[in-house]
Amino acid sequence: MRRQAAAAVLRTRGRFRLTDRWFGTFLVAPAIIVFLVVIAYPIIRGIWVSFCANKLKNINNPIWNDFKNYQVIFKKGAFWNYFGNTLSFCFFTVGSQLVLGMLLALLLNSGIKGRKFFRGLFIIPWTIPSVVVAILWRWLIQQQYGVLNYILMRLRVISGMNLNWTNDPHMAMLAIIIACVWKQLPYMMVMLLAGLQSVDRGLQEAALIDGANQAQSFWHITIPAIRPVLVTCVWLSITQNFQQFTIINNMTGGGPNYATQTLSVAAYKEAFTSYNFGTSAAIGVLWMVFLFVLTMLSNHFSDRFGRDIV
Amino acid sequence: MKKILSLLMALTILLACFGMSAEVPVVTVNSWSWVDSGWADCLNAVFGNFAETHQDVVIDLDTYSCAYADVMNNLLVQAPTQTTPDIAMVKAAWVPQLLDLGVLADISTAMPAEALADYTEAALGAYRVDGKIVAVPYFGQGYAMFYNKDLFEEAGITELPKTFDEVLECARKISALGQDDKGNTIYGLGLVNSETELAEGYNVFPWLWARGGDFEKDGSIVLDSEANLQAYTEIAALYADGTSPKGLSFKEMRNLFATGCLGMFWDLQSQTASFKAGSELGDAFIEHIGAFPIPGATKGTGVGYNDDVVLVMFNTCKNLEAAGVVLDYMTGATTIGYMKEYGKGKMSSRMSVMAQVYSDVSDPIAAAFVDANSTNHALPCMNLHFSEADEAITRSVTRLAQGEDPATVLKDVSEEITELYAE
Repeated sequence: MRRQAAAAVLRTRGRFRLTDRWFGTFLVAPAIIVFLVVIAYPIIRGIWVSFCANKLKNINNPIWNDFKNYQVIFKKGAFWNYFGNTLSFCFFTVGSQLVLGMLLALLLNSGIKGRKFFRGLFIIPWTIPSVVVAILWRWLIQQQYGVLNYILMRLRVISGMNLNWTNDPHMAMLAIIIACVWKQLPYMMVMLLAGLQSVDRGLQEAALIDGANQAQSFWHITIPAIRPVLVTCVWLSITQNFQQFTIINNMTGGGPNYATQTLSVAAYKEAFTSYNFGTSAAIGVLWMVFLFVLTMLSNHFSDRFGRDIV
Repeated sequence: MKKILSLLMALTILLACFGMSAEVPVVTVNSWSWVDSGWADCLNAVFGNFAETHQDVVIDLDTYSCAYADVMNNLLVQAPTQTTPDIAMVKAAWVPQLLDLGVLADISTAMPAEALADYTEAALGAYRVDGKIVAVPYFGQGYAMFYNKDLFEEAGITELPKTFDEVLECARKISALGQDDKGNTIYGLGLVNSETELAEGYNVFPWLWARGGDFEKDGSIVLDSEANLQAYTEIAALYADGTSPKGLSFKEMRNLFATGCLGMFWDLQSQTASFKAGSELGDAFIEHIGAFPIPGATKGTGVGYNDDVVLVMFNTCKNLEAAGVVLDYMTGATTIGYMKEYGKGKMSSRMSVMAQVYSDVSDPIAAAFVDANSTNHALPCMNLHFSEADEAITRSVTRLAQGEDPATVLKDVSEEITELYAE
């Protein structure tokens, strides 16, 4: 009797576990479907199209052509220019955001008067859509009647309204970096501020008591304490800026003469000006591979720093 | 008996509701111009009048809410899925891509023969492919030279330039004025090269034509020539000596012109609205400017160009007769008349329409554009790679503005486009 009862319970338990598993699957299924349809399928199709000849005429029927698209990209040589532009744009944009973001975060963390007001004020650029930022900055850097040239002229940095931001390759790159930093700085600032506010004040005070100055305390106490936040912010910023398209395309169009043409702009032009979807996909795949490697590195460093702190 | 009569009446009413009356054919038409708010009134008038005067055909109008530069992408997405409209308004430069997709129908099967006969062979010939008419000119967007009367007076220029050499001479005289009373630099002649807008590349064609050069001849790219080299050298000098501002888009150039700091530049008649909006003087600014056809190498010749907008009919169109009525109306005198009334400055390639609408032009700026229309060149845009060529030429002009050697720049762009066209 007892054995029969125990067996009945087991059978019941087995049915109960099976139902639980299926119920869990049903709950997760919508998210998986969305992931498959919106993320996985486009990625897989994009990778496949990168190995196909896919132009307007056969837009629905890509024809496999092995690595021809990749050969074309590298043969033209321009790919390395786009890659270099992307790397330098990322480096200077992320670097500037980090330094300025940290300075602002330290300022707001220092208990100055009107702290909340300034925090709200500094957030504003982040709320403005990227295309508006691009148009706004294009008018600000306009040579003949832009405000920036006027201010520089009044400060006697330039002799007249003669600084051409968009026709010089270096100035054009500087212009898009400034616009992107202006737009994205609030995010970096907010994240670093949150990190700074989580630092144990006791450690900082102890360091000061032991004779460390502010700089040493900042470098040896504060920075290690917020390292996970720093790493996360930096890598997020890198991946975001690697994909930056709106501001660059609307400010300079990738010019002058490819000086600001990054991988994102190049992929767009290949697809929607040249209607060469296969080559465009190939650029996208190369860019995806690079970002994938970066992400793996980021995860590795994040884990490592996490273990260090523990 | 009463029951039978009631039954018959009910049946009649039922049939009347569900199909005894003739179905009015519907023609779907796409138009991008609503994006530019200055066109809304004009096109509302055009299509409103059609609705009032044509009870037998209904236009289902679809206006794009996206930028005009994205219109083509929308059509390209619609094409493979057979969801294109019956008729669409497109730039002539976009026709090759649509033709390549095999989605364009033969307009001669729909449009009345007398309307087609109203076009010159030169106007229609460009759109005749394998015996089929794949597009008809809707309106021509002619370019002519705008000039600032005040700057001309200040520079001591009493007569309008009649040759391209005189244009350059006037430009340098105006540029020599230096700055205005607010300290703003004055430029003589503006040439766009921002790389952010379409059509910046072929905007230099007037200069090439003025020097006897060309872009394409008999299907071959003829950019690398002595005549074009002269043009490129002059363009480089224009930027180098500050006669033209560098790196400006069409919008920025219009704004600069509206501030009164630019002597001359060539543009569309419809942009007078932009000048009024951008100028401190508002509508009164129009009294301070004028226009003339872009002169060629010798007196009496013109080197402006027409950036045609055409109507295409897709092969998804089922109501050919109704589509023909719409095509005839949209290219006819009523529509062009409304465009003239609303100051759009669009010309027609139909002979009777021009004779009817532009027989009496009192506005001097409009008169200049009508004059220009008679000498303007058609753009050689019926090639799949013309848009890419346009971008390549824009980049070459940027290189000139950056001070590179004109001969090297011309050779590079010629090779690039030749390779493109060979694909």
